[in-house]
Amino acid sequence: MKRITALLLAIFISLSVLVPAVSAESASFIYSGEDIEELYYDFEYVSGMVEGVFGKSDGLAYWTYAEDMKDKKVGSWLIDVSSKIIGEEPDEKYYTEVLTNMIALLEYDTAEQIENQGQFDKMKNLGEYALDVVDIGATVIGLDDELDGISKAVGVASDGIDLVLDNVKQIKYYELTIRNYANAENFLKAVNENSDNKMLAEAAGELRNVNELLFKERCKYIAESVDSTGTFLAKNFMSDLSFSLLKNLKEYKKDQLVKDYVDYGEKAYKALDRLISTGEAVFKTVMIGGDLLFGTTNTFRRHNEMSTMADIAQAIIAEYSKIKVSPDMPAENLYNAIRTKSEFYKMLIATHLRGEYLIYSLNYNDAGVLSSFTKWFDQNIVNENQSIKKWYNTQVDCCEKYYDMVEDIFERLMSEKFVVEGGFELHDGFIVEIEQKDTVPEGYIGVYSYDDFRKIADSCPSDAFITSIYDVETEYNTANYILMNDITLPADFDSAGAFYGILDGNGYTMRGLNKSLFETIGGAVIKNLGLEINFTKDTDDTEYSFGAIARGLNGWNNGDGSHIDNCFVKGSIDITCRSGYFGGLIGVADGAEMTNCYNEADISIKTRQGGSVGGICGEDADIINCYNTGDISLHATCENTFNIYSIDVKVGGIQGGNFYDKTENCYNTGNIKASANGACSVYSGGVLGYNYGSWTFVTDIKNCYNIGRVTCDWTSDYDATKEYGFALGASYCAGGIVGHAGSTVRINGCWNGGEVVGEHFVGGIAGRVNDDSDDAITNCYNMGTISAVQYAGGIMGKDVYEMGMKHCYNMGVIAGGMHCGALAGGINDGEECFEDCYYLDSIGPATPAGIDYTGATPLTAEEMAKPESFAGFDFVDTWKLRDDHTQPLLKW
Amino acid sequence: MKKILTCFMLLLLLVFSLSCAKESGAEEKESTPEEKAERYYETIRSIGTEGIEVEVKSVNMWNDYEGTAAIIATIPDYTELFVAVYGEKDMTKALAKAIRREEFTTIKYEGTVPVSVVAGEQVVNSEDTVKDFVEKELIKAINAVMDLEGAE
Repeated sequence: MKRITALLLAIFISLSVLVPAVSAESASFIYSGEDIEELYYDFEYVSGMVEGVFGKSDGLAYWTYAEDMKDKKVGSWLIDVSSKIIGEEPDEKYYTEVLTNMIALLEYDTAEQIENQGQFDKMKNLGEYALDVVDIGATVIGLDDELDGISKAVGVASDGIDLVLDNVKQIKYYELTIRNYANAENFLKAVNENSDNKMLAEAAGELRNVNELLFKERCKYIAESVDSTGTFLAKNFMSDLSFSLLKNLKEYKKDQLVKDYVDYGEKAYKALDRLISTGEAVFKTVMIGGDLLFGTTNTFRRHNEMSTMADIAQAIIAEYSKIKVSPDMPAENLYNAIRTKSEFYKMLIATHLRGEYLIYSLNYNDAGVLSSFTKWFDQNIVNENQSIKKWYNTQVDCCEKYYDMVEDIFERLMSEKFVVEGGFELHDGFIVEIEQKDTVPEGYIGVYSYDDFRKIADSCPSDAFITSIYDVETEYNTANYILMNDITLPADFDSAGAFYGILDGNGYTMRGLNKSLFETIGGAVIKNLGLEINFTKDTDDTEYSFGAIARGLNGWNNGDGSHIDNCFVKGSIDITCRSGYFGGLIGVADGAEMTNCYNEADISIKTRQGGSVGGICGEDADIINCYNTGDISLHATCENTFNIYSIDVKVGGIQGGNFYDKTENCYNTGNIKASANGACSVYSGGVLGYNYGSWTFVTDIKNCYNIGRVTCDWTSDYDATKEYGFALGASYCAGGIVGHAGSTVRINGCWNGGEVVGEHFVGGIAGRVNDDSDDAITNCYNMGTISAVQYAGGIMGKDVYEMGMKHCYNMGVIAGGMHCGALAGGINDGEECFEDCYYLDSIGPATPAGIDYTGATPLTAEEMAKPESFAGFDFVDTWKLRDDHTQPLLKW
Repeated sequence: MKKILTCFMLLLLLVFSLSCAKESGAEEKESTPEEKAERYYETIRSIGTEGIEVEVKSVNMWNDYEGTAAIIATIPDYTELFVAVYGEKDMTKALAKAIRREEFTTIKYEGTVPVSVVAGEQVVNSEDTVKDFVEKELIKAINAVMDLEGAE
């Protein structure tokens, strides 16, 4: 009897340790394949933010401190010998206690699942569920002895579904027991296999056996308590199935490790127990209060535990980094991977919170405080406007926010957010639905095979300089073609030359592309065409441009009149060259119009002299209703240059650079990375890397959003002072929507949810703004975390002239050094620039010194949920309240 | 005769083996750096236990089961010790050496601690209070050294 429905199990049990032996045979799913796909995109959104904020030591005081101490030999020596003198040096017992405390927290999380019981409300068939739980116990865990009892409990022996339903409470306990076991196993395995701290790793390894012992005892207890187990309640789980279950075993008396595990676990339980009676969000209450009473008040213990927490955090990160999450995976594997990785995220956040609690507590130690520590804390963590208490509350709020976000993935709240906020859905096929034509329309030539397409290619000569329309009409291909089949191109495919006609893909896809379809197009229309490409190029060409449809727009009218509509690109593009323009569809577009297109290809460019890259096109197109999901990066080595303005590195989710063309209704979910080593200017943006703008007319960036991670890195290992007598300089900006917005660029109705990271000029909407109008940025908001060394702002990093910002708000965390603010990090001359702008009061440094924040109002989370808090916002035409009443959203 | 020769050869072999074993045993006695460090640590740990003296000055019982005691704890001056070894090439070794040679003075703390009765015997529970005294002194010592480090 194999009644396992892998996906159902995955949903309820969903643990990596269980996955390999499970196979799908039937489908009584709660979530459909489409749901899982949506879940994937929700997860991608959350994953980028969680890993960006919690996956590195920046912004986490305890971890930064632990790393700093490792570098300071005298400091760490003093803590080490003092710990030895006072009897607090980390030993096996210490590591057992620290790990057991963390496991106790995981158990409380499990208890909270029981308290909420929401997952069980969604079940459609409890009988199936019960039998599945039994099967997984038998099939995967292989607990033969216990299985007899469990089988009895669920009536498998008599095959009585009624009995199963009667005893469903026991099954719930059993399922939670499996979940809890696997969570602890995953946690301990991560530390056991990844930690460089040998003693910690060994302690985790030994505790894995004890965890298994507890699991088996729990299974036995549930099986034997068919008639006596009470209501399915958290407190019953905590009392009947807790660490104390091991107390009657001979192992407790004979094995010191088991005894320590039980004793420490009970001690932690006792400290936390009063909270369970609240019946509320127990684990979160524990976290929010920072009320982790277990452990000690000893200074040296706290210092050592901070280092241990940093070791544990690194081990967790190493473990979850091994988990691959890809939309190409089968649904059940994808679900399991997402669930397991999410559990690791929660463990990581709990670890961080414990670490931050320890460092916070050190400031209030009765025995006295290390002056070097407080000095370090004051210099590196809090600033003059922020008390330690406020800093700690911010950290707790941030942890809670992200913890909730991870949990919400499975409540599908984020899916709603996507539909409501984005206004778009991701597509398997074309954005605009196509009814494929069976017959070739009048005025078109049908293309049924590669041979047919080769004929078109042969009639498109390599481009030359064209001086008039006459040249085009007489020398070049201006005919209209329509694809009548999917076409697979041969490995030796060579690009067609210049094309000036119409190519209607008719909803078909050209596969096996390993070069641009055309060298150039001019005044052409390419529509309804899918492209699958795998392109790799390493060239010394001075300037090399590339896009799957065409390398560039060229000819007598350049891009004017060219229109790319309803096309997509999938696959990968990998280019190494000197410089150029690179896009998923078009390299350089010269003013062409691109609508309803998307790119899913990952694009990786390495140049020696800068360049522009974007998911849709490298530079200069009017782009409307397009999106990108591919990861896009450009790294430039900037060889032999010393003028920062001579080389630009521009990377955007939609396009790298843009002069005067508009960008509307576009979004990006891919990771965007611009990096350079040497003298150059580096710009990255979720939608646009650099938008020049014009002094004469307005260039719009409108109704766009980004949820990808945007980074901008600049380094220089070349000492120019020796050769040129002065040091190299660099300019670098990163923005959730645009890295640098030039003069007369107006940003309206945009939002960012992705993390934005850079050194200077980093903003949730724009890194740097050059426009001096009153409405340079209007009706925008940011939810992403913004990190910079200096000039980090929730909406804008810094302006160049006196720009104006209206009707904007920020809820994203600001993590930075100097000149960091809730809305703007810097404002030219510090003058007033805000009108009816708002920010969440707990997001980090709010008002940088020397800036007039008049017109910007801090709001609590509760106030954020009320339209009346947002004076000046138009809640009729522009804004609305989010469905779950937590914040305003744009209506479009 | 042949048997005697064989016995003699075996005896010779045995003596040779024992001699080799003794030599190799002598080599094994050479301490590894880790073993040396562990010995230094043992000395350092001892100053947190054997280096501390607790004198009970008076006991005041509230009833037959509980009460308080006035104590004087004599604790090594860790500041003096840490500052003395600061800057040494091997500070651990220098600290262990200074402790072994008792190159430090002591500080006296007075306090009141709880007293309980266990199996008819009065037990003065001074451990936690003394630990607090030691912690304060250690923190003072660390601050002093870190100030020196900062000054450089």
